[in-house]
Amino acid sequence: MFNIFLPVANMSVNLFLILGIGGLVGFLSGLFGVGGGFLLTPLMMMIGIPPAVAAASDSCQIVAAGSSGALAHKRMGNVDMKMGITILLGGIVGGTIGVQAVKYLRELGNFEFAIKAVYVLMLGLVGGIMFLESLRTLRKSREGESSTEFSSTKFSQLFTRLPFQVHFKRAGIQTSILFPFFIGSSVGFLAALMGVGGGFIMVPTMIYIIGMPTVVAIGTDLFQIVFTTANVTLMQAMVNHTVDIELALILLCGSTIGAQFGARATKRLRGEQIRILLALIVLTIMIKLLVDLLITPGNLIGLSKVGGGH
Amino acid sequence: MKRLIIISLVLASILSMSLSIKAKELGEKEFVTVSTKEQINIDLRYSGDRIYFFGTVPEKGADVVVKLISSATEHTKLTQKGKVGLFWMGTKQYEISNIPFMYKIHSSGKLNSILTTTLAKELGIGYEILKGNMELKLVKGEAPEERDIVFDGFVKMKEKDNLYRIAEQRIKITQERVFQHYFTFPQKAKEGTYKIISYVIKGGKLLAMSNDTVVIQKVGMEGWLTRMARNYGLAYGIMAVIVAVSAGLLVGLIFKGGGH
Repeated sequence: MFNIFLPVANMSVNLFLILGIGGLVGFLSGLFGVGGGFLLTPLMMMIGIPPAVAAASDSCQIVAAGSSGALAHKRMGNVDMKMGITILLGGIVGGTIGVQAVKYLRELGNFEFAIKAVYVLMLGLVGGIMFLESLRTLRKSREGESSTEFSSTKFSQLFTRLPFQVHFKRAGIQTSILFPFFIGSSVGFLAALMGVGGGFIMVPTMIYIIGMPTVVAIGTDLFQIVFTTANVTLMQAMVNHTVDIELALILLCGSTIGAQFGARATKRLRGEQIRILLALIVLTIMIKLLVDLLITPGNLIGLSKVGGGH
Repeated sequence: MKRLIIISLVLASILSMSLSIKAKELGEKEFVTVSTKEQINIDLRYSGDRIYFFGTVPEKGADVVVKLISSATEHTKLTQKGKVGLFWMGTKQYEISNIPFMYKIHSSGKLNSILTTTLAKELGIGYEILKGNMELKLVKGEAPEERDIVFDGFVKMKEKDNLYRIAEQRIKITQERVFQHYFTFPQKAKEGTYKIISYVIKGGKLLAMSNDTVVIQKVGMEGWLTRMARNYGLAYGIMAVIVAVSAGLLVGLIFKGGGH
């Protein structure tokens, strides 16, 4: 009942299950202020959506979810166009290489392993750091200390000595163009492989390493995410034929509604409590994926090329 | 008794409605089968389908074996997982072909008591026959080829999706003449033609056979999107981006700035 057939995933799924997953991730993204793409792909994989379709459709969903936010930030003047375009160019290069890597890994038969392994690493790292940082903040707040502010870092000083120095007006910094380009390429590559927008890597990098103001970092990140994931969506559709537009739109509906509730729930919880909760969710998903890689599979034989439409 | 009346009524009504009736005579024996449907449309609400088959056995005491086989065959790459260090990952890759995409057998009794080995081979009934026909090529990894492991894993995968099944004693023959059963076409049954061949067998000999055909096709939006995604990747990709941006902006308008 209430099943819906996804033409590219080539399978029938419960409409409310997908809406629920979208809603849950949207709720968390509203609550925690992150894009949530890094949670959406593994959750879809868990319900049986082929990994390649899950990642590609997630990219498509991020295009939709990010576009309204990007436009709003642009109007408020929170987008550093020069920085955004540099990261975007890097993202397009990285995303294009990433899509080819997906194709190669799928043909090799190890795409599922690769995507799960990368997720275990990323989720483990992000979840672990977040958990420890939140615990520390909780402890400090109990002891009555105020949290330390980040200022100019050793990294940002290092980049001022690299060639191709450019002044980024909106961000109010001068740095080498090579670094944002490299970060853009790495995140673009991950976007193709994992179906993530990369906000959870990009925003902290822009704030702590490049040294940008938080609001401009968020606005610029959203701006480049829309274009990077649009490029990935286009490439995935052309090369791997794995974008399920129906799936993306259902997820969008769920995530948008969920995000509204998430944003309201933020007012009732303290920042560090929210972050500990997110860290626990991230670590739980990481453990589930890790167990999948470690335990003897029920069937030693699997399709080399997973995904619909073939 | 009540069940027999229902079956007879259904059978009579289907016959009178002139649904497709395919019969083939072998010698003196006439064997008729009918199905409730000849076409399955995959649309937005599709989640698999079930088709009933009815028939009359030409000779008392005979057994019935029905084979469902897809016209489409598999030509695909399979990965065999092995343990590398602590992790399970692909260690060998095979290319397999000449094996049906969907294969199901229903019978009125135990297959080994109905069929001789020769007849089973002649009619293509049983997994052993499929295994023998399957073409296997090791494309990555070290020899030897492990045909049994690959075939068993492949069948396990297919059975999980309900695309392969051998169900003995599934067909009930009432008063030694009328039989009925159904085949489930799972959600993963793809577009194409599926043949349903019913055999009447007695004393290890084939008495009669009859063919039915079911066609599965994607229709409406599902069909259009599938063909677009498969054949016009660039156009589909551009459309996906435009739809996503429009939907995002629309949602942003509704919720005044979007949720992200």
